[in-house]
Amino acid sequence: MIPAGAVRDFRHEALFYTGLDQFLDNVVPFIREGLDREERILIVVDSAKIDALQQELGSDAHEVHFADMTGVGRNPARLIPAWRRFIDSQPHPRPLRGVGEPIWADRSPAELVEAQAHETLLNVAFGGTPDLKLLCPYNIGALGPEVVAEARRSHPILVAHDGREMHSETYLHEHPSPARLDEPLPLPPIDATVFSFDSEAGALSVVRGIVWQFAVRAGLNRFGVDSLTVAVNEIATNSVRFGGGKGTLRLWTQDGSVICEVTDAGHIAGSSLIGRTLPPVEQTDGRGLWLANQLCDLVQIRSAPGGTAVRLHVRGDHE
Amino acid sequence: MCWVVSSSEQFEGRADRYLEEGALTGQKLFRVIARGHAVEAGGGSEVTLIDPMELAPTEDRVVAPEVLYATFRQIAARAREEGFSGVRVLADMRWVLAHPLIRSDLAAFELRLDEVVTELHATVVCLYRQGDHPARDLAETVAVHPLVGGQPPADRGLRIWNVDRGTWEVAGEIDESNVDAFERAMSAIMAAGPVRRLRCGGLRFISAAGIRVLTEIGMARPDQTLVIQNASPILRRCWATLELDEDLPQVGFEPAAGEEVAG
Repeated sequence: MIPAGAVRDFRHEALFYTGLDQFLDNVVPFIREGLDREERILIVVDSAKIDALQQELGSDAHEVHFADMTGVGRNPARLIPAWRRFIDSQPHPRPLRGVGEPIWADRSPAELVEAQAHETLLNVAFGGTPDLKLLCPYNIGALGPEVVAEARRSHPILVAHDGREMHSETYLHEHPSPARLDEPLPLPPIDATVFSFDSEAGALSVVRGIVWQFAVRAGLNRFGVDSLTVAVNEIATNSVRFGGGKGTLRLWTQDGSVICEVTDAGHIAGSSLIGRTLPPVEQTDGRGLWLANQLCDLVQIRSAPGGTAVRLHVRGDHE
Repeated sequence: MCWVVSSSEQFEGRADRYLEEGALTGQKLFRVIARGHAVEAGGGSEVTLIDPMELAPTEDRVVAPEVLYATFRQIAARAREEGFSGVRVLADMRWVLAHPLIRSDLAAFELRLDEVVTELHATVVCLYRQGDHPARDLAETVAVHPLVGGQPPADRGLRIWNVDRGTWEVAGEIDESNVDAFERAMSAIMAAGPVRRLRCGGLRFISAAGIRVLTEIGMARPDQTLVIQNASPILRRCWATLELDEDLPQVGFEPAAGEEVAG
């Protein structure tokens, strides 16, 4: 059992539940405990659960911040910046707690891996942050056992549906999860559009033109087309600047999304939070991956000494 | 206007046509050229010669830019007093610029000249010969003119020009291949005076590096408002996702005249 008491260090807990009733049975007391302690609270779950929670909380719901996970967390890489904004936005320091459910049954395989990476990276991003408690619900009735096993590795504290808390025996702070930067991506389809580019003047303009045309023909809306074009330009620019001066662009469609992959010979050796931390306004570079994460519905980065692949996804219903 | 020619014959043919067009519209005509070359260059009797060498040349026999700008102001004022509709100047840049010229100085000179030309409502054609400057320098010179003719070298893909005092227009595409030119141009503009309004209606693309240059314009004068006009929706979205609205509250966005403000 975990001793109760005031939150001191960052606590990252996984709640294993089945069905809405068990979700509410655990999350509502978690929220009420925070309200009793006058903590700031942010809940990031889907809209149906937000409605249910607001109904259960009644007028107390006005004291709680809510955000729709299917919007904020569509790209899981946007979640750490969202939590960071919540932490930084409070005028006076006081304990914070949150509920975030970034993994659900309908997540695509690619999204699931990135959401699992997000869960691991929370430990890196907020480790050492005092008075912050995050509860991550997992609907184990709808998720596979391998997803639950991964949750045990990424959360130091586990909460059963009856409220019992325990330390995870398989927890690893920054473990080699399926989304590590050196884990290869599935191969692109053989009929993907391929274009090689280099640092010649005008090459990036051609890259943008190819992406733009492909995205328009694939039926993306205006924002989707522009978002993908900007994001690809930034990644291709990184190839030109840091990836050996050249790269390869591949484009294809899959399940209603346009996917664009940029590969080069470079190696991203920086922080595992790269692309999740906004550089200060005075900093001259480092905005490309941030923009890609903010503009695209999913970004997959895989890097090893032999090369880097960045895969950008924009969905047909891009907002 | 920037006109790039490859030969003296082509240069003279263009010069004569350009001056004749000015005469037809009631403009007083000037030609900036070294006096010893004027006869060789031709030109009608109604054309007044301005010899840069007679305008207090510096030690390296190049006219100081501010002296040239002051001369343009004087001739424009005199032309209006004489009843002309304005002035038309054909400037042979071989006699105006130092050799070899530093690329940043070239852009700075042209951008400042553009401000003076706008202020005076004058028409000025800067004639460059291809062999006088490296192609890359000429390409950057082309970028700081609203209009370009002749046979310009490889295009750097962007244009910057003055619209009104403190108001500049940028057009084309800004990315890794030309952001250095954009940064040099904006630095030169800011060194001469504050940028109050930047019109971006013709800006088809701007990268994160280009946005960084915009932030530097905003940061240079935190006490003064900078309006970015006609920005594309994606530029505004990038600006917001970079949280620059919060970091640079002195920078605002404004739609084109008659355009509704997006929510």
